[in-house]
Amino acid sequence: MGPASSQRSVSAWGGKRTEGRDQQVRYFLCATGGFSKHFILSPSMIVVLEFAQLHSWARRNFEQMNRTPIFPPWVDQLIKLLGAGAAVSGLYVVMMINFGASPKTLNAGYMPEQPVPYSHALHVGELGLDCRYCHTTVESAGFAAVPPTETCMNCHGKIAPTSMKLKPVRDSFSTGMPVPWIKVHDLPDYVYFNHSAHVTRGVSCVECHGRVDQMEEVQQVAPLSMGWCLECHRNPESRMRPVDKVTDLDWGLERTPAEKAAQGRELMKDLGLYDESGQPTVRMTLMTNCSTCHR
Amino acid sequence: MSSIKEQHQNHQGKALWRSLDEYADTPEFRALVEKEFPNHAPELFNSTSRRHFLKVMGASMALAGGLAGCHWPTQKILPHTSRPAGQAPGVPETYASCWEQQEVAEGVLVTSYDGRPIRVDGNGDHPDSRGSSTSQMQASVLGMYDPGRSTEPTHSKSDGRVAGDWDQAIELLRTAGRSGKVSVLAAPSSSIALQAMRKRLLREVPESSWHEWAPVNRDSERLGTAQVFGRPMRPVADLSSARVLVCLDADPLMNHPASLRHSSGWAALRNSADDDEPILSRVWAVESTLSVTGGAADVRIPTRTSDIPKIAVQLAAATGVSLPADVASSVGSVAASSDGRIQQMADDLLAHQGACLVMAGDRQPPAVHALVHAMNIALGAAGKVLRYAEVTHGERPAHIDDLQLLADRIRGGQVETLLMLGVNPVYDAPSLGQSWSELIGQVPHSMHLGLYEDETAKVCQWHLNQTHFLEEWGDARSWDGTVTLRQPLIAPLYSGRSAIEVVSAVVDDEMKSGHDIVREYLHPMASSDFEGSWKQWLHDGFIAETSNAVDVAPDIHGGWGAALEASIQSVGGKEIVFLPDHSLFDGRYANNGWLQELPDPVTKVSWDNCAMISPRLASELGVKNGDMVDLTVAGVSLAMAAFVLPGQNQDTIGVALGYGRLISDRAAGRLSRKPSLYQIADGVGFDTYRLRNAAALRAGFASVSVARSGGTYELATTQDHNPIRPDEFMGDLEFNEEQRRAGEYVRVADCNFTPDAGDVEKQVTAAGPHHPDLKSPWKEHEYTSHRWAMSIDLNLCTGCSACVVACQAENNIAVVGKDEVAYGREMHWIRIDRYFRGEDVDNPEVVHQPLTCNMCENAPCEQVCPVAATVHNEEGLNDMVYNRCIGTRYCSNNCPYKVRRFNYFNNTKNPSATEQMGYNPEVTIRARGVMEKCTYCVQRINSSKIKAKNEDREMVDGDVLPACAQSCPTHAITFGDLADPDSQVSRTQKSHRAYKMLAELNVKPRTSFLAKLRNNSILDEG
Repeated sequence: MGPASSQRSVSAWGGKRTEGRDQQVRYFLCATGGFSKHFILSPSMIVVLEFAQLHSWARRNFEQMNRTPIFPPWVDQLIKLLGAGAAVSGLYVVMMINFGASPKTLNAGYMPEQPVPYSHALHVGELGLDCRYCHTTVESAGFAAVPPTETCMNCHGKIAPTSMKLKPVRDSFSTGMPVPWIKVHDLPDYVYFNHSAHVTRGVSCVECHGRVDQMEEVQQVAPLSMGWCLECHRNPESRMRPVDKVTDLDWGLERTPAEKAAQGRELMKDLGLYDESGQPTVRMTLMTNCSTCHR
Repeated sequence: MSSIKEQHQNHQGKALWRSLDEYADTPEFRALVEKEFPNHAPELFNSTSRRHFLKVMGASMALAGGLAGCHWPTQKILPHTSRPAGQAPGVPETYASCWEQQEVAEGVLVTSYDGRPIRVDGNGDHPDSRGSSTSQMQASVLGMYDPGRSTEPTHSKSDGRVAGDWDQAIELLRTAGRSGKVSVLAAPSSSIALQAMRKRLLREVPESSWHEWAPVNRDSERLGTAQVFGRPMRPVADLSSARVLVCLDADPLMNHPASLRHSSGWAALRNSADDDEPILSRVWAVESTLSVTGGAADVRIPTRTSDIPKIAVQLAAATGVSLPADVASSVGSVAASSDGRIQQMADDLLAHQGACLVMAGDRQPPAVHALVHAMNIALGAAGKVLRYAEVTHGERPAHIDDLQLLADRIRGGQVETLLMLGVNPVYDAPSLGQSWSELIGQVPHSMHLGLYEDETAKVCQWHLNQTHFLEEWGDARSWDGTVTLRQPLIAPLYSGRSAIEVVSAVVDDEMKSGHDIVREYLHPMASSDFEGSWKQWLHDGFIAETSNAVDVAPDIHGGWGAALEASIQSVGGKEIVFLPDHSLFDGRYANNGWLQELPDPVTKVSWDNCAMISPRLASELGVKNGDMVDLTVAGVSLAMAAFVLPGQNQDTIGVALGYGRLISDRAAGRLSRKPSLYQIADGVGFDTYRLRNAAALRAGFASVSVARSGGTYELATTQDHNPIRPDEFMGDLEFNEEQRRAGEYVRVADCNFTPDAGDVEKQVTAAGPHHPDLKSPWKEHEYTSHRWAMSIDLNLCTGCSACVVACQAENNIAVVGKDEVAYGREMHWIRIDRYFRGEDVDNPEVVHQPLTCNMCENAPCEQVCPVAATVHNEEGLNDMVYNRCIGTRYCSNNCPYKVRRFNYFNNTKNPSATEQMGYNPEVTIRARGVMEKCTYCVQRINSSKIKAKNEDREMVDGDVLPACAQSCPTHAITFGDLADPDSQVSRTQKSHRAYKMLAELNVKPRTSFLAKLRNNSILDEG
């Protein structure tokens, strides 16, 4: 298996398993049936057709023997209806699995209620706190790190010191027990994502987390599926920005994707992802190696 | 019998074989080779497994049914309330600490992941461990998370044992300290704090006594050096200056508290074949049972343990060195040896005066140690090869005599309270008139401090749960006397207490914290700024320049000639010797799954000990591997499974200690698939302590009668697993063609050093395969980035197996249990194939070959995976993607090296909460039905890469160190980037000795092996 063929196999799986591709492709896949879908569809069709054939054969025999059929004639119509129903239900199951179980349906939009109604919209959007004020390790470690209670108390020792909303924070600070935040962005355990590797190269927080500066309650906006990750790992140009703008969530809104991509390519030359002639280097291919994220 | 000889002779003239089955080419072995998957047992068709299968299917159905609209379980993020400075979640940190065994400290570095210790490695700055580690050190982290540990104090009442609490226990200890008549039976320790408290106890608590007991001890050396030097001294050997090393029943590379120091020293004289001035040491081993050092030796002479004193005397006579008068006359009274090799050994020593060393083993009597030390000084070793260090508490009697003293005190009613600290005499001490459970029963108050509620704990009134070494403060001295500090990595999991804390309750009338105790007793060692010194000590893990080893040779005293003469005896019949187990040591690690499953370096038996007998004795008795034999020592007999070990002396039966434990009352888990009971030690192996009476302990051996007892026993030996036989790959080729093309997988060159480097190259190449030009059937990869590669030097590998456990700890490798190992389903990613070489089954040469995934550039496994779950990456790694694997096992089938491991069961299902804490979070936990294999520690490669990029620099050689290479005591494994021509691995792969295994298959492995050199040609000259 050469690099080319391993690349090919990645795309085959990535395309089939995840959304984010053209809708048309997906409908095409449903209609023609992927491997697994074919198996769901065909047995039900075969059963219906076989039953219909058997029934009409029996009817012909009974007619020849000049005997009253067991089933009344309208059953013939019912069989056709049943057949249509089975076909539709097969399709339904396929659609259910394809769309219902997709990370886009299941995960994107996930917004659990947190023990403290901390508003990023207020702190980041209005007050202008930098992401790194609280998520201190994002540039140096794999985890961005939810801040310790102490960080909240730096300000809230003086600001709104009696607010009931902040009671869990004050309790935590006095008892030493942590605030039990609910994890929103939860990758499978076999995926190893490293924050520092992304933000120190100019991939902004906003690319995965969305406009957190506008969220009252944090929610997951991206599906965080493998296909979604690979889309950027294959074509990162339009998602790159100068490293000092990484936490500037509304940076570059005025630019067109083409402008972004043009600048991104320049930045990627500096990172060694493109060579001087604008050709992708091996570092670019390494980004889609399995062991980059799975170990 | 013929085929293997013919097959292998054509290249080297010496056959290579792993077991006697292979040597004789038995039908059983043929079946193993021919059947691609011997591990395809008919699992589904035995009743329990079918039920299991249905259960698993049921679970899958339920999962499929409940799919729609569900979200995975909610996880919580629990941040610190106040994060310690410098700590970041998910960034591992290392702390220096201290590991103690046989009263000798090794400096360790413990990796802590978010406050959970997950790895124990050697401390590179420490003068003894020098960054490497042993299998037992590596496995100690599992020992801490062992759910079978004792979790609370218990005491016996009329209706059985009930839980107690520490407050009560402390009150009892304080009362005992006030009322006196306290006897302590402690495991020997070189801790300065504990030794000081011992002295205080004897001084301050009326009618108290302190005794020490260790079933595996170094009394002979201590008493022998006391005879010859007038006081006990500890020989600190620097094997890197020992051009000639003679081991008399000694195993300095494995069963020795300074094995790490010795291994790195020994290795320094074995790997210089590529240097301008190559040096190769010569190791002579005279021993009864094949040891690790014996396997590494250039010349090995199997003999009876009881005959070795005589050989030592003959050697002394042959060297003609000057000895004290009475000793010289004793030496003179012994007739010269008829074995020419003794004279050769003597000549070799004399030719290398000042660069040679003689070592005697623990089983040899003190007089032999005295003789050896007198010889070493006469041969000029002092100050060059040997330094002499002080022995902690050197004036104590031999351990067995100390036990006798305690027994006498108990019988005399002088003991009111017996406090046992980390010892287990009921299991491992010989009975002295009465058994130890009876003796302990006679004491009014008996208390036991230990990690497990073991055999001794059950007969004591109180059992106190001890802290693991990763949970406590402490100190100990290393082999050369360096004071090494122990700091806790985690709060005690079960609120246990350490030995020094328990003793403090007796002598101080309050239980002080270990932290305060250690600070108190180490205070005198600090400079004026104690806090500054303390911080420095904790950072370094040891106190610099506290080694008490000196270069000056002590004066030699006589007066032990008679003892030497007495030690020369002629014992007829068969003898039995008792060896500390390579994994379980004296039995203390019996509940550690990693160590139980680790194949023994010599026998390759896991989950059991066995009676090692020579092939000749086996044919006399008519037994083969696994047949039961009755061993009878002084009227006590034990039925035990036999293992036929080539190289075993024919009159000696070797047995390992430490098995046959009875920790819990629950049913034994011997044949369970995966030990679900926490007391996995129970019922595993044979309790050989029963045969080891006081006389045997003193003499180092015992006379034994051996008979076949009928019945067989399943031994889970891995020696024939994953056989690599070239004929496997040659398909339908004609035999001659096969012969011409089949290469060797292990290369050994016999040479007489000092070698000519060109000569070595010639020999290594000559040993290789002769194949036509290799052409690749497909377009080969191009590499423009890093090219990760590994070199494994067979000349440095002793087979110690530290790498196997290091890999297991790093990569969350499952323990599968004895039955599965017997099927050939062990999961170790790195295995060590032990080959015998030569035609002499009574004394073959030994070659160890560690084998991991070779990371082939033309990997056969990648070609056959139907789902692209194993794919090539741009750096040449053969990536394994668990979440894609559907378990066809085609890859394993197509792997010429047999290094892929399949999860036949959900081996990691439902680990206890404490076990989960020990996993390495950087590596995925694999589930049932998934293939896995060595990744070259890709998690370490990735994190080093990210680190380098974050720091905006290129990676440098040494940034990435896989777990196996990190642990290796001889640095036999080198790893790095071939794209860097100056990297260590580039250099080793260019060595004269480098070769690729099965190169004729053109799979282009990234791993190179370096041929083994054997410096034994002196025998031909003589």
